[in-house]
Amino acid sequence: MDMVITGKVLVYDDNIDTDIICPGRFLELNESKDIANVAMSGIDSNFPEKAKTHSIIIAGKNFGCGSSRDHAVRALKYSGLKAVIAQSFGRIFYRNALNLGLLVIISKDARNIFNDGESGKIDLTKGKITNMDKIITVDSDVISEEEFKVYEQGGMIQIYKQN
Amino acid sequence: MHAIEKIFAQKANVERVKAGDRVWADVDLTVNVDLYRTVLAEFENLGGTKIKYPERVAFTFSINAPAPTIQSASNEKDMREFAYKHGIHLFDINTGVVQQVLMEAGLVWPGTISIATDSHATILGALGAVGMGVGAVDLAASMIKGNIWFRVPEIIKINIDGELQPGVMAKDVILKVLGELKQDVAIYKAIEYTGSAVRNMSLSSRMVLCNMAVELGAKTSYIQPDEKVIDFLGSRVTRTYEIPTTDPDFKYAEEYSLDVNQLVPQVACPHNVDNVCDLDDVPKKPVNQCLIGTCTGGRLEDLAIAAEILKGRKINAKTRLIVIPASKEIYLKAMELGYLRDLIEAGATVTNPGCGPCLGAHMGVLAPGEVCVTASNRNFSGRMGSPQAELYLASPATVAATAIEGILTNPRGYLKSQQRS
Repeated sequence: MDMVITGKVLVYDDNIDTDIICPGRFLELNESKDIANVAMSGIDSNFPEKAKTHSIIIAGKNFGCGSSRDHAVRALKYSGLKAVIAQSFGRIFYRNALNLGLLVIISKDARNIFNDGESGKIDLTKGKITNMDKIITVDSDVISEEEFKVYEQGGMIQIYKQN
Repeated sequence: MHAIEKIFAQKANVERVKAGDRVWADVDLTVNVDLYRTVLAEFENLGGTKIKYPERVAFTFSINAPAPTIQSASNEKDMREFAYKHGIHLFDINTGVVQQVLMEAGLVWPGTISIATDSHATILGALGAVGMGVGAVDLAASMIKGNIWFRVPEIIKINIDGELQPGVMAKDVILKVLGELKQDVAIYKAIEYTGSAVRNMSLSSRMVLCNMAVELGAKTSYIQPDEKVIDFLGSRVTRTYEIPTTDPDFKYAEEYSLDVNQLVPQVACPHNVDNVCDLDDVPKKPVNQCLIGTCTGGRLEDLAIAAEILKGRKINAKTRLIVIPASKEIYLKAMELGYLRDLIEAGATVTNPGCGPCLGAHMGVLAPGEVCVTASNRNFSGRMGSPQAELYLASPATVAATAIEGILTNPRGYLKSQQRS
């Protein structure tokens, strides 16, 4: 199984809250393409366009803090994002990401080695994140093959369905 | 064990649990709010046909209430039909804010576990209950099976001692805590509040601390129940319940303390809940909108102090004041006690119980460049409308005084008595 993820990164600061990722007025939306269209609209109206060429978000502390809305996870996942790396996550966002199959990885240092648009490589089983443009590598949480399979299948919801 | 751990252990039907354990625990109350039609889709997606314990499931309609768009009206229509079909509790648009309504209805008591598509479910800690926010998948799974898995959280103690000055409210206390400890202090953890200031607070004030525990990142919160909780539950909860207690040898993951004797009114400035200053240090700019209400600042004592400040006065001609009682019960009491008349005569716009514009859906969203001082819980960019609007979080007393002056104002000079209502 391919346990390495590569892609261009988008970099964000601390405390990117769920109202930034998916503002409250869009919570009435139910369809994935509609939800993807409003991803990150609290901070960047061009995000859906950028997500076509960038597949990894790298952020500071407390990414996804705030509301219980899993629209925040859906918006990023449906935009085509492969992974979100942050120094820490809001706990409801983190749990929703596990449920819906958006790869979330905790790394204390990744935020410090990337600028917008640079190329990143995530080695999940080794717990290493590399800036491919600068050839700098930092540590991250390890994602086991078993955990990655859950993500690949579409999250814990697929496990629940089987039981 | 801590009382919270004992609750998880009991609901997981095991002898002991400790922080970091993953357990499958029974859920006493599973709650969906009107925003999430997605819960019905996930229920179907998970193969759900029947709700295991319909009496343990509630839908509440307080956010897009009454429906402002055809889309939200359609979502609510589907959810009502689902509720009728499955015989679950339905609290429709006339009832009020999610957790407030559930507590008043007697669906929460000490020692219970509730999950909700409402991050402010942490408020239930004020009743000695574990309340946690979740997304649509967990909610649907709990509707089908009656349980979900939990990670038992580490527990932080925040001890708050001292006596609050007149015009200083629980909201000022929690904003001070946020300013000191910051909004990620309790991620993945639970918070217990202790200390003389907490014991002396009304139950409504304790709810403010527990409500905004999620703003500190917390999974849930807890205040050891006392006679104030038992009085509130009174005739609402007819079944017997045991109040869990924490063992004397329990070791907290972290302990913090705050003395509130000298605390002055606090304000969280844009756009973060922990960007907190003393009110008097915040640059004064014209305020377009003031909001008193929501699950944080819309209980009876909040309307009482606002009425005390505004009675016989007029709000600033260039400022709007929106007042939203948190529930029908509070609305009726505020009416009987004359608070609503005082507020309306002063110039307030009183709306139906619910969440109002707090999360930017309707009923008072802000234009670019507008400034709002609010008794609600979040000042994130774009939370109440335009990302170019500015939100300042403050106590209901501060919001009321601000509505009169049209700039951020310390409420002290407007209080008739030294006695807090």
